[in-house]
Amino acid sequence: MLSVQYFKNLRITAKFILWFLFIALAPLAIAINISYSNSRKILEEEVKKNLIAVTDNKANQIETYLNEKEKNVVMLSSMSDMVDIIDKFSRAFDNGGIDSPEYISVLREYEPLLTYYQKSFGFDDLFLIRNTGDIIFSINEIKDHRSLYEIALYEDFKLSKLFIKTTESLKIEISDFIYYPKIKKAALYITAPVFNGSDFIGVIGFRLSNEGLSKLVQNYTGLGQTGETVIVSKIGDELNFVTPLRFDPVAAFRRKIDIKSQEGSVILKAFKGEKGLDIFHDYRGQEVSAIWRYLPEFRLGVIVKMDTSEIFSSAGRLRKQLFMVSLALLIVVVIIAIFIARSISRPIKELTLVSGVISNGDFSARAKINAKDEIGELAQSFNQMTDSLVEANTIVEQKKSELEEQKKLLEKANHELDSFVYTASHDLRAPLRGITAFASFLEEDYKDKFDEEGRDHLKEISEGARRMTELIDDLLTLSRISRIQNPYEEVDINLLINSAVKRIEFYIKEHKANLNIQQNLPIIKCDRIKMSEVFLNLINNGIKYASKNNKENPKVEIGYIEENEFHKFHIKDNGIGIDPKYHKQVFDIFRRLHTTKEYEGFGAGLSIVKRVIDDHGGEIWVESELGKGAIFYFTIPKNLKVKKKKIGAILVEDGLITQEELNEKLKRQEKG
Amino acid sequence: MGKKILIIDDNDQDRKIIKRFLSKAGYDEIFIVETGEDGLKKAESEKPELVIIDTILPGIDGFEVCRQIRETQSPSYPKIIIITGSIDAVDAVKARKSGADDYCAKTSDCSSLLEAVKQLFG
Repeated sequence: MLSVQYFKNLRITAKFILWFLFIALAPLAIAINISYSNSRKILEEEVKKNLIAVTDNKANQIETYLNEKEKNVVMLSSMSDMVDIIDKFSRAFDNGGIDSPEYISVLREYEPLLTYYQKSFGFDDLFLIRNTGDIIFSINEIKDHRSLYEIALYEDFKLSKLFIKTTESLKIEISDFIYYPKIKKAALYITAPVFNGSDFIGVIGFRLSNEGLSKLVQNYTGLGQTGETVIVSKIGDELNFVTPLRFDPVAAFRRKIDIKSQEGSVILKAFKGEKGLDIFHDYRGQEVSAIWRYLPEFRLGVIVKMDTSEIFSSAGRLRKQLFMVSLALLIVVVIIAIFIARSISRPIKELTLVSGVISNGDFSARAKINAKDEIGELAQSFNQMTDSLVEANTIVEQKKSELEEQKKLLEKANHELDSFVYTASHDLRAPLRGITAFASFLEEDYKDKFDEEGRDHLKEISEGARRMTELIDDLLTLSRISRIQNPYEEVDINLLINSAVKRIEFYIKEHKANLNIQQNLPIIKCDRIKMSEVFLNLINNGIKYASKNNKENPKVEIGYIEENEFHKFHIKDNGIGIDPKYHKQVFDIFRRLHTTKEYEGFGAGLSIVKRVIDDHGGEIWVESELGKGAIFYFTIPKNLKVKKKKIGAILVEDGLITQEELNEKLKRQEKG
Repeated sequence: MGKKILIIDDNDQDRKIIKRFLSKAGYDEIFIVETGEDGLKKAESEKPELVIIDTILPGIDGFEVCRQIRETQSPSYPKIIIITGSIDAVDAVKARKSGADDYCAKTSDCSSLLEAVKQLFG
């Protein structure tokens, strides 16, 4: 997960580079691999074919060369003069040995001819051996004059062995190469029988050094820088190089070949007559690819080999080239990735920058992106948004200043209203006080002078004045409550109700009311002064109605439950109850002002209560039936929103303007 | 009871009402003036034991009259009660600050005023 998170947090450029590399690398690697292995396979095939061709060619040359030598020998052995020559040498050899004048005269006669043949056919030496095994002539000095039969008994002398073989087969014979330390050369013998008529009279033998083969082998045409032809002989378990090696000119019969080495096992395969191709490490420890042949006639193995590194050097070059190409490609990919990522991230950065500038309050900044793609569209709509913002902001600023102005006006109006209320309270109440007082004086002083009807009129005057006083007081309370906004605070409702009850203690006692207040009421956030007014009015109200029930003493109960996001209180009384059709109207003071005796006594209290609850964002309602008491419920939200009452609404409530006038004014403001 | 009481009030009806209730309560030496200026003169000349002052008066208002009486005479003489026809609670505080002994609202039966007078004269 950490790595995923890491990838998510990368900048766009880094992401693009990663993706591009990922997308480019996989096919590239596959393509390189396929092309490399294909070209290697083709090359391998090619080289194999080439090597096989070279091997066949070399093996052919070797065979041809040796066959040529055999043919030469056969030709000499069947020359008609040869019987004569052997006969003459044999007789001179018998008559006085090789130092006798007779032998020397024969030697003088025939040596030039024999030497001529030896030299022109490319042999090292030429021997004439009569059928008794005696060497009766040799171009080089004869050191051992014993019969070859005799020598064969005691020594491993190749010539004597081959002579015996020839006497048995009466055919041309060829020996293995062996090394002659004395002449420091490797050489083989070829022998052929000589017949007089059908009589076997002797053998003509030749020694052939490896020089001819070496010349063949040292022709490296078609073998590149490391290829070579290796001729190997096997005598018993001993393996020997017959010719010099390309990288070791004195290797013939001197460099040992371990039969257990890789090279040795390959050579053994060749001697088993197998054809094939192998890759192994040669005498230099180099890895080589080799093709081998076996020449059964001459008991020689021919191996043509070449360093694998050379064979595949072109493949290696190809690989290097592919690597360079892919490297270049990757660099191009990275550059493209960076370019594309930049082309995406640059406008985004520009947008971020511009939005930063704008959020710092400079609304004149605009994104300068001309692209027609999605980012261009984004920039365009961003600019449009900013334009709209500026427009909206201008409107807001304008409205703000308008509101400021209105606020000042309204503050002035409010101030005027305050003094109006004060004056009204003073001036309206004064004459009423007079009416009440003088009516009471009349009643006191002139009671006897009035008749029954007069006294009744007097009583109505007092009563009217009393009600008017009450109404004026209520109106003033109500307007004061609406206008004053106290801060919301944590209020312990237990304490609040206690102090409210204290304020109307006298009233409670007067009506012998029984107050039942639930324990552990909550602490809630509200306007302390107004909430106190709420409980005071509701308790007052409850007692007022309950006292009209003559059957029992007034009982008022206050309860609370928590209901979701609200505090819910109720005030229950055992009064006369309220007809459900008036349940809404009891909270409406203006309606009440127009009513007759039916509503008398409701007071403005409930209107005051409703206004306070409304201000808090709560609700108030009543559940009641006539004659069965009433329960007033109200709720206060737990999360109070600070709600400032609109001044226009206050003006309407206080009757200074009508709702229609207010609407008209608001409309005009919107247009302006 | 022989107590001199001065009433300063510009409202004719209120003067009559207060005078009637005080007389009925047995205070017969009552002086009545309509303005603060006259009230100050009367307070100086008659040395009443109690001055009852309305808050709103033509010329200097009731609180100022109260303050001036307190300045020119002793802090405990005469007793001063400020009365008001308004229901503004601020007046009560202003009354105390200007040196009044008591403060009460005007009512048609003068019950609170009579109560206050009774208390001051012990």
